[in-house]
Formats: sequence, C-alpha cells, structure tokens
Amino acid sequence: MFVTALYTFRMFFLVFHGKERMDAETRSHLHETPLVVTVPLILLAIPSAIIGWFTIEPVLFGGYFGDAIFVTQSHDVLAHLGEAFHGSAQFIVHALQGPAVYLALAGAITAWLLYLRRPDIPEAVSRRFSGLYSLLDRKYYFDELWINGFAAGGRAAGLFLWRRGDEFLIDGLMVNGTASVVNRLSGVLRHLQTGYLYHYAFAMIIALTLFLGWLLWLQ
Amino acid sequence: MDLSHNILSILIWLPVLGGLGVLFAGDGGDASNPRAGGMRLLTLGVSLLTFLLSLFLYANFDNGTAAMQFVERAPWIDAFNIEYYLGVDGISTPLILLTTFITPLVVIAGWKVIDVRPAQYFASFLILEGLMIGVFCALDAVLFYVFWEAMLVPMFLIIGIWGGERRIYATIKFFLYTFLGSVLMLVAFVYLYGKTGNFNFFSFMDVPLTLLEQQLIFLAFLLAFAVKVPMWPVHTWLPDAHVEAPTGGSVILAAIMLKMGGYGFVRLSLPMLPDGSEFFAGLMIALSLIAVVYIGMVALMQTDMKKLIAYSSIAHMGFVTLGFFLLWGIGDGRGAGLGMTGGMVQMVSHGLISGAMFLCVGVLYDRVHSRNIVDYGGVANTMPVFAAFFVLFAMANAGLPGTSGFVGEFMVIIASFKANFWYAFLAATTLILGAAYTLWMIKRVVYGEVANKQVGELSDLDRREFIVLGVLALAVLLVGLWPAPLVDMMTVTVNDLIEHISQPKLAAL
Amino acid sequence: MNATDFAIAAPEIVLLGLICVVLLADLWISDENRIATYWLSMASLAVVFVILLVTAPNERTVLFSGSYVTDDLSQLLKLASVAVVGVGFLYARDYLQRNELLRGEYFLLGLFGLLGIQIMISANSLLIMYLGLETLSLSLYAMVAFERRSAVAAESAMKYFVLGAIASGALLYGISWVYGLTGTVQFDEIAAAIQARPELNDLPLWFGMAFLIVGIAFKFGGVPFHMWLPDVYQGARSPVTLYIASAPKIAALALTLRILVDGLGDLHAVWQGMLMVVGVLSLVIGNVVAIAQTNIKRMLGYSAIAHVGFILLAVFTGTEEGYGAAVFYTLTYVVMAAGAFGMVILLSRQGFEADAISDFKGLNARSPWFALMMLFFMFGMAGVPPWVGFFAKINVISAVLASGFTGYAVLMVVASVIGAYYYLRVIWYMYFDEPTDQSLLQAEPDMRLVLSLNGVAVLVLGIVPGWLLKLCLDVVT
Repeated sequence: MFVTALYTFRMFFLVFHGKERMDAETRSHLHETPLVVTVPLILLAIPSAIIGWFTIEPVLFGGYFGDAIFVTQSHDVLAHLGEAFHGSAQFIVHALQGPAVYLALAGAITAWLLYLRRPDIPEAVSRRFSGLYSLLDRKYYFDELWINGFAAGGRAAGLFLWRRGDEFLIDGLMVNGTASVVNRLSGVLRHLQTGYLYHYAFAMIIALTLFLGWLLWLQ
Repeated sequence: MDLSHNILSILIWLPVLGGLGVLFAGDGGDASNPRAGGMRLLTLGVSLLTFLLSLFLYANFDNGTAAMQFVERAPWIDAFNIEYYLGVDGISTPLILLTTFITPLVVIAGWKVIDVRPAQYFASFLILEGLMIGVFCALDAVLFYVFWEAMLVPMFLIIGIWGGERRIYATIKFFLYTFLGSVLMLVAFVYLYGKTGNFNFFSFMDVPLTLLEQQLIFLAFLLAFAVKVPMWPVHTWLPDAHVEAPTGGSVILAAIMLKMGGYGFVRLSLPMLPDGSEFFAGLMIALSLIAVVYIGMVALMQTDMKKLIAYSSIAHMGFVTLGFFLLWGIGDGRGAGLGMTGGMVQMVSHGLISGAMFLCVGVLYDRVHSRNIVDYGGVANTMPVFAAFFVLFAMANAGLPGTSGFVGEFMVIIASFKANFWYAFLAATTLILGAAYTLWMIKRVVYGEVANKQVGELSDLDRREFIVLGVLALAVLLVGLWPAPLVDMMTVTVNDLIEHISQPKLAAL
Repeated sequence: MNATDFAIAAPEIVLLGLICVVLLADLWISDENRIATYWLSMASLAVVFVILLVTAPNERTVLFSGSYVTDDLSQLLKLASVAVVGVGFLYARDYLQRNELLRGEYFLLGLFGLLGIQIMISANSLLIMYLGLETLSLSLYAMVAFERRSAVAAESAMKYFVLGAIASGALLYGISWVYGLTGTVQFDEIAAAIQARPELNDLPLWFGMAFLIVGIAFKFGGVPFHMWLPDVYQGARSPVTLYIASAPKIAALALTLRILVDGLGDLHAVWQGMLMVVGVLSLVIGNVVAIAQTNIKRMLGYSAIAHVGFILLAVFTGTEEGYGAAVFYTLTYVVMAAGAFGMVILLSRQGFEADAISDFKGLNARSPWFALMMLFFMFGMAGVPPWVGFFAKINVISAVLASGFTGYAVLMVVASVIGAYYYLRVIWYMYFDEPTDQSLLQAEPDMRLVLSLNGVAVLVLGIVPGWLLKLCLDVVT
C-alpha cells in the first residue's frame, strides 16, 4: 500500500504541481479537457469514490453471480471477511484502526517530499544505485521479454499456425483437397460416357456377365 | 387470448410469415423504389414485435423448474410419430431472447446500406430469425432438423447475394461444410428412431444405449455441432463466411448461429449420450483448448478486421465447449454446474460482443470500404463517439471485468481450475491472447495519427448507428454488472441436466 | 371373362378409345388449328383421370384370366402418371408452339406412352408387362426422334432404340427362363410355384432373374445400364426430355415392384445383391459426374441416375417400409423433375434452347418468382428441408437403417452432400450472378400458374408430407 500510494501521488504531483517541464508547443495544446472526455471522467470519478459504499455488500457477500460460484468451505476468505463486516460506515472505522491507511498516507507524504520539496533526492538516488534504478526503470526488462520474446514468438507461432495449419493443412489439403478430388473424379468419370453406342452396349453386357458370374459364385 | 399457450409458435411463425410478406410485397429490385421504405418499416415492426413477445416469454418464465415450459404438442407426421413439439427451458430461453434482441438491431444496421434487392434481404433475415427460434424450441428431432437445415438456406443467400468479392466460394463452402456436418446427425436421429419408435428428445434421453452406440452417435452429433460452433479443426468455413458476408450476416452468424452448436451439445449430446460424452470428454477439452490457444495465436496475425473477429469468435466459443465438458474432470456436481453455466453465459455474452464487434467493423466498412487494419489509424480523432464504443466492445472481447465477456470466461476458468490446473492455465492464456489481438487491433485502428485522407474525412456515428451500438453497449454492461437474472434463469435447468448426465445409461442395459 | 372385367379395366380401354379419336381427329385438323389436338389430348387425360377416381377398386382384383390386376398401388400410380403427363403436355404446348413444332405426334405419342405405363402398372403377368413396356418404349423412341431434321435428336433416338432393344431382348430372354422353370408367367403363380417347390430357388431361376433385372435397371437408368440416359436427355427437345424424365419413372417402379416383389419375392436374398450394386453405383456415379456437367438437361439426367440409386436402395431393403419409401420417393421425384424441366422450357424461346446451366444466370433479377420456384426444385432435389425431397430421403434412410444397413445410410447422406453442390450451382447462377440475357420470359399464363403450383407443391408437400407418406405405405401393405 505504501508503494501504491507512492507512485500514484508521484504521478499526480509531477503532472499537476511543481515546475512546468513542457515546451511551448505542448503548452499551447493544454486546455481543459473537451466535454467528451470530461463527462466520462466525472462519471467515472463519482462512482469510484462512492461505489464501494453501495456495492461492497452485494458483490462480496451477496448474489452478484447468482448461485453460480461456489466456494469450498476451507477457502472461504470472503466468509471471514463477511463475519467482520457490519456495514460500510463501520468498515471505514475499522480500516482506520489498521496499518493500511497509515502506510498509504506515508507513501503519499514521501512522494510529496521527493518530487515536490526535494527533487534532487531522487536524482541522487538514481545515480548512486544506477543498476537497480535502470532495472526498475525498465520494469525488470519485462517489456523486452514481452516484445522480443512472447509477443514476437506468439506472432510467429500465429503466422505459422495460420498459413501452415489453417490455410495449407486444413483448408488446402482437407477441405479444398476433398473438393478437388471429387471434381477431378467427376472429370474422369464423365469420359466413360464416350458417346459410342458399342461402348454403351458393352457396358451393359459386361455388367450382365458379372452378375451371372456372381450368381455362379453365390451358388 | 392467453398468449402462453402458443407463444412459441407465434415467435417462430410471426417472423417467417412477416418475411414472406416482405418478400412477396417486393420492391422492384432496388432501394430507390419508394416501396423499399415500407418494406424496411414492416421488417423493423415485425422484428420489434417479436422482441416484445419474447419479453412476454421472459416475464412469464418460471426460473424454479427444470421442466419444459410453454409446451406445445401436436401430431405432425403420424406415419413416423413425428410431432410438432415445442417447449423451452433455462437453456433455450436466453438464446431465444438473444435472437429476438439481435435481429432488430441487424435490421436497423442494414437500413441504408443494402441497395440491391432490399426486400429479399430483409425477408431473409426475418425468415432466418423464425427458423433460429425454431431450433431453440424444437423438442422433436425431425422438427429440430428441419429448422436446423432450413436455416442454412437464407444464410446461403445472404452471403451469396450481398457478400463481398469471394462470396460464392465462401457461401458454397459454408453450405456444404455445415450440410455435411448435419447429415450424419440425421442418420443418428433415424437410428434412435429405430430404437424408440418416435423422434421425441425425451425418449432419446431415456432409451438405453450401449457404449459403442453412444460413441458412434456422439461422433455423428459431434460433426454437426463442431462444425457449427465451430471447433478446431472444422472451423475453416467460418473466417471465409464471416469475411464475405454482409455486416448483418456476420452478426447473425456470430451472435446466434454459432450458438446452435453449443446448444446442440447441451440439448442432445450430453443428456442423450452421457457415457459417450464421458468417453470423449478428454477429446472435447483438448479440442477446446486448441481452439483457445491455436486460434488465439492465429487471430493475432490477421490483417483483416473481420477475419480477426471471426478467429476471436472461434477462440471464445472454445470456452463454451470447455465449460460443458469439464463435468467429469470436476466430479463435484456444484463445480460442474459452474462450468456449464459459465459456458451458457459465455454464449450469450459472446453473442452480444461479437455482434457488436462486427457492427463496429461494418460502420467503418460502410465509410471506407476496407476491412484491412492498415487502411485505418487514428479513427478516434475523427470519430470519437464511435471510438468509445469500439474500445468498450474490444475491452469486453478481451474479458474486462464489468463487461459481459468477463463473467462467462471467469466462471469457466474457475471451473477448469477445479478440474485440472493445466486446463485452467491454457484457458487463461486467452486473457492474454484475447487482450493482445483485440487491443493491438484497436491500437492500430483507433489510436495513433490519422493514417490517410479517407480516415481524416470520416464522419462520426449517425443516429441510427448510435442507437444500435448504444443498445448493445448497455446490454454488454448489464450482463457484465448484473448477470444474476441470466444465471438464475439457467441454474435449475443446468443442475437438473447435470443430474441427468451423471446417471450413466449403461446401467439401464 | 365377363362384363365387370371390362368395367374395372375401363381406364385403359377408354384411354385407348380416346387415343383413336384424337388420332383420327388430328388427321382432319389443319396446321393452324393444331392446338385443338392439344385440347383433345388434355380432355382425354381429364376423362381418364375421372374414370380412375370413379372406378377405384375396394380390394385387389385380378382380371382377364389373371393377367391384369388393380389394387391400391396401381390406382395411386395411375392417377399420378395421368396427372404428370397432363402437366407435361401443358408445359410442352407453349414450347412447341414457339418453335413451330406443334404437331399432333407429340401428344399422340405421349398418350400412347401413357397407355403403356398404365398397362405396366396393372400388369399381373410377365407378358402383359412386356407388352406395356414395349408400348411405352416405342412411343419414347419415336418422341426422341420427333424433330426429323435435328441430327442430335436422331443420334440419341438411335442410341436409345438400339440399347432399348438389347434391354428388351434381355427382359424377354429372362421371361422365357422364368416361364420355362415355373411353367407360368403370372406373378402370383410364379410366387406360388417357388413356394411350392423351394428347389426352384436356384441358379437357373437366378439367371433368368438377372436378365429381368437388366431390363429393370435399363428402364430406370441405373448404373451401368444408364449410358443412354444422359445422351437422350440432352439430345431430345426439352418437352420430350420432360416426358421421359417424369411418368416413365413411375412405370419403372411398377415394373420393379411387380416383378421382383410380387413375382420373385422369395428370391429377395439374391436380387438384393444386384440391386445393391446398381443402387450404390448409381448413387455415386450419378452425383459425382453431375458435378462436371454444363448442360442442365444432362446434369438433371445424372441427377436422375442418382435419385434412381435412392429408389433402388429403398427396394433393396425388401421390407414394406422400403417399398413404401420407394413409392414416395418416385412420386415426389417426378413432381420435382417435371418442375425442373418445366423451368428449362420456361426459359427457352423461339430458336433458343435454355439448356446450359449458365442460361439461368441472374434469373433472380429477371423474374424473382420463378427463380424462387427453381430454388424450390433444386433444394427439393438436394434433400434440404423443408422441401419434400428431404422427407423422401429420410424415409428411404429410415427403411435402410431399419433393415440394419447403417453403412448404406451413411453412403446415401454423403452422396447427397456431394450432390448438393451441383444443385447449389444452379442457385448460385440464378441469385449471385448478373443476367447475361435480359429478355422477358415469354410463357403463357396457364404455364406460369401450373409451374408455380408445381413449385409450391414441392414446398407444401414438404411441410405436410404425412398423408402422402401414409398413403404410400398403405398401398404396398
């Protein structure tokens, strides 16, 4: 909670307070948000502030999911929470007695200290612990892993499965392959119909002979 | 008059007859004809009336029983004991509501766009609606099959007449693929008829069958339903059909027709062939997971928006089949209910979201006449309202909590955790892959600099489009924030179904 | 032999009398009034139809010293064949008029053919059956050659005649074997003789039966005795093809049921194998080769071969359900075939035969209603519900499964899927392509009306098939 509060307020202070770090051009773009942004923002802000008050009970303990979710008895964290839950007002009072709120407050204050009052401290810190700083600054290099590892790998796999699997193997060989086999068979078989009368007559006589042969064999 | 005795017949035949009316009233072949306007209004009226009547169905639906409700039963073909037998329960009602809800939106979405033979277009959709509702209501195998197959005909025409460039290849492929899938189901029905002497679904459920019979019939059903869902590896008709179909066709295809496959598993395969289903459950789960992972990766690489959404549909439908067949992995009845309900919720939610996504692409396509991602970029600058909707639906597609996409997926993932960690692990990759392909598309289409002149000149949604997307957005959020009514509708039926499935048929032999 | 015999055989006797009247009248009618022959023929058909309804026998009656039989089956098949010939004449008139072919021969030969069909349906002896078959066949040979100046027509008539002669010869040869062994040509007596002397059920009788089956398979157009069929369908003028493709199928069914079931029913185990071979080959070859066709008459010819496969496999089961399914299939197929060839005639104009599949291109733009009718016929033949072809197929499949032949049932449905492709192609040309030919349809109102009724019937019979299914099952039990 300390860390969460630290980075939230760091952003808040950097964006809205302190020295302007933008150039003139960016500045000219700066204006109050247009209506299409503001209205949703306000709409979002109101419920974020108060939604917990109203919804905590139904979501956690009530029937939000109907009877669809069943939690096994031994893992029922919510039920423990539910036992301690006596309405929203008490919930807040209860919270003030715990460490969470104070840790959060401490984080906010630290952020204020570091980024508003003494901006030189973070710089000094970053110089002294440059390795750690860059590890943190690059988010533990997860982006690189993502972009070059998983994402590229996923894309390559996707391309392979699509071109080779879907288009070549399933669609090409199995689906259109069957269709073209039938088509070719049709093209071959239609040539049995030569147009020659004696071919036709022969076909009948051969078939009759085969029937008779089969009957002989049957006996 | 008391509607509840024949509400289902009305729901089926009102759109069909309305469609025939529109068809025969005609419009002289093009949209500029003054009669075309009347056709549109008539179509909209019929589809809205059908929706209102389905609300009546919803209002009078009793959540507390697993028995069939609003049953209508009359002899149809005596020589074969075929009946006109309709009824709904907690599995079919949500899908009927989905059908009646989506159709008017499709009608509105096609309002101005269709300029060739609009009367035939609208008539096809109305007839299709009636037939689809029929599939969800039918309790007699032949009646079911008649609706199931007849449905292909209007869709065949919709894709073939109003589709894109490769429409003929796509629509023939669509028809033959699904036709091949269903004919073996017909053979299985007739085989079961030989055992029971009628085509009633309930006698099919009660008739004892050997394991071999169950396995073979399961495979026959599987082909029919797997093609419809579609499951890997019989899914390749879908991207083609979706890409070539007109927007309305894609929406109906994705939102409702794919659900028929899932519905078929729940209505037929599972209760009629419990031991066969158990035998093949592993295969089904494997195919579902392949759909989720393999297709998710394929979706990542698509450059055509419609194709991307089509692949995403396949991946999401993988969740549905996964949820249905987790039953034997979990054992405990309540957890199984979670998987099955999750699958059902996922079907409804996917119906809303995929429909909305296709409509969004349709909005862009109507303006720019391209479905390629590279032809767009920075759409948010010129169409901010549209961008907001598109992003919302994309988030829902990626399974963001608060949207309908989250509920079903979450339930299925939880259920699969109970069955096996690796099922859950692979299933959960969809959250990553889904977010990756959807948001990557959004990023390239909606955000960034304005890509070209055409995008720079785009006009935002008009009132008609706003209504359609707005209504869908409300539905997506409603199901996401308050799924309880939907889930409650299914719970009793699903539990009863599981009860039925968990009694092996072999014992009765 | 007594007077009531003649009363019960009235339909055939009256038909023969009326044919003579029309024949004579036609001599006195001048060319510009030739249409009168048409009306006289239609009136004759109406009279025969009414007489058939009036003289419906209550029970199976055997007349004329046991060579003629009337029962429910004969009643149903005769009514159907009279009706379908009437519809065929109606479709043909327009075409013949437009192409200056309106001569009495078409209608007279058609009536003679119908007489042959009626005789076959009511035959109770091998010789009467042969008599009817020859009456029908000779009429058909002449009809195919009916346009004297056309080389193609002459060629196909020649093929038909020579091959038909071989088949008739085989049939006659088979008859002589059966007669020589059993000492009778009457079906019921043949059956009784085999029952009385089981040792007859042996190779000599089987040989005779094999020759009979050649005759049957030829008449139906079952593979490999089908070679005449595509050439004749294509070579004959469309109204003639329409005639050949419709009513004679009913006669072929009667031929099959009377000989194989009434006469040689006890040899079921043996003829079953031969019907199986012919049926399966017809199903596969018919459906597969139809795909490669570009001429719609030829395509419908191969499609007919495929449908014959279904009919033969229904008979092959040897059960009453199977025979009932064969009757239902034949009757509904004939309705659809008449409609499909009616569409070919509808699209033809003076000097222009609309016999390429591509002539159907863009029909939806030219005439949405008739495109819809053709769609009904095509989906009906493909076996897609709710059109009647679906119930015909499910009925056969049900009979085949009930006899335990699951493999054949699967083969049937897979062949149907292959077959669906070429029916879909017609629909694709009509609906998805632009017309290459903008001319208006020229048909007269009565043809339009009847063709529409024909199309609607294919749909309505599919929605309420129960009565016909029951009827077809009743007439064979």
